[in-house]
Amino acid sequence: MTWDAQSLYGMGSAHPVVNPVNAAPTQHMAPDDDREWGVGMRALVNPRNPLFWVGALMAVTVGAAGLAGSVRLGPAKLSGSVGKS
Amino acid sequence: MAPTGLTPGQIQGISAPGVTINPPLFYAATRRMRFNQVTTQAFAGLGSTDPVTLRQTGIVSSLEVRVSGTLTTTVADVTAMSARWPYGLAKRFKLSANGQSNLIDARGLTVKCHELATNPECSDRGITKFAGAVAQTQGTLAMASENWGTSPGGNQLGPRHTPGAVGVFTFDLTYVIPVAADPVSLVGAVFAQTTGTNLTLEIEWETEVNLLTIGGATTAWAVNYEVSSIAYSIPQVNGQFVVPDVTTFHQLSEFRRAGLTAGDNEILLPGVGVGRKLLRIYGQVTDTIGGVLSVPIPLTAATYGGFAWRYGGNDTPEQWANGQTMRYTQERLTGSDIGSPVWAMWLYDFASENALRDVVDEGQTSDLRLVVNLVAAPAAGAVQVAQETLFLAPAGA
Repeated sequence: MTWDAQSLYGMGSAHPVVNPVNAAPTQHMAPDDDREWGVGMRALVNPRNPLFWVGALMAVTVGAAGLAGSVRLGPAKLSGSVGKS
Repeated sequence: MAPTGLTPGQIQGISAPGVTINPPLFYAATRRMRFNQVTTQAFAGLGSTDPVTLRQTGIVSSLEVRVSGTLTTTVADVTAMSARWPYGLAKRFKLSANGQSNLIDARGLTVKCHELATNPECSDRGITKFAGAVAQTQGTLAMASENWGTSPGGNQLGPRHTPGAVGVFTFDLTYVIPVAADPVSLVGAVFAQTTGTNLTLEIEWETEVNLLTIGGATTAWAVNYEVSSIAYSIPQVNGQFVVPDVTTFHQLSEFRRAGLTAGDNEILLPGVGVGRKLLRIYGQVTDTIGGVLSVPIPLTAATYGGFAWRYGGNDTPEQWANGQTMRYTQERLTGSDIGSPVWAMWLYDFASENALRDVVDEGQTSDLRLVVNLVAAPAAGAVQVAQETLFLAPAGA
């Protein structure tokens, strides 16, 4: 049996209720796109993530090098394969 | 969620660092205290007010007021007591605490009715008092140890009761001022331990002309009063001061409305707001009959055509068919026939059976109002309505 105004009379709390053991946010925050998109696998394909663009630049560069590696140079064939060939 | 374990830093608008709300710990460690706030003292006079500044100690649960003295009539002539005697001698009790004015603002009669309605140990069964020239044994709201006025010759005073002869009438009355809504859990009690606390009780005394009709006689009044306080010490446990749930205030506030008509009278309750719970409503319709003030209208099927309470457009959760059914209901709930012809009080009780289930949340009941149906319009009548509420301390009175 608890002996407070809420248990006995259904009163709301006069103060923001804080659980001293397991503190939790006292209010719901508005949805944050950055937070939501900033976690998990989705972060890897998020255009707002600088790493995405670094990855894209690397892919283009390495991909081009891979194509360039397949070009013949005179009678000799220089075979340097990086990436797909 | 219960506020147990909460250290709010501020309680009832008063700075209280290091004070933790923890009812179970408080009950285990506190000490009940009873002390005189005012020892026997002569009153200021009929029609005057006695202010009492209370000591700043502990958690104040209730105040007990004793009013005693003599009324002496010295000429052999009839002195008729009005319908306000004896509890109306204390015309008004007003209690202010921690910046909240008029937590209690009610007639002495209403305060007595509150005690009968809330204290299951308090009973007026079989206690004989004279009212309206008849010995009444039910519904007097009196304790056996109270005295409404007795002369050495055995003549007695009472509401609308004319004593058989002049004499020195000794009387002794007691009132309990309900600071807390519940004296067991102490919900609604006042946190009075700091120097920032202000706790003031005013006792407003009725005028003589409203208490009796002097039939050519002369009267002499000698009235004393004393105030005792029931409070609880604030224990210190593990370096923290521990208190019960004192996040709320308890209020008993009364108003009067005249202009009653036959049929439905919708009485709008003032001060309804979010964060307030309605515990009980006390009421009484009185009229001036035969020159006697404040004669209560008997609570019968012939006088009251029904009771109800209503909110919003026309939501009517409860209704009673007539005065007699209301009288039955409240006698079941209180164990006292408070609707008897002596005082003819009526009561809407939302808190006695199961408060959590029944109390009215004023935040969800806009335009909350009473419906009192009168069979006949009282000529000079008025209704007295007292609201008993519980509200969050910072919400304002």
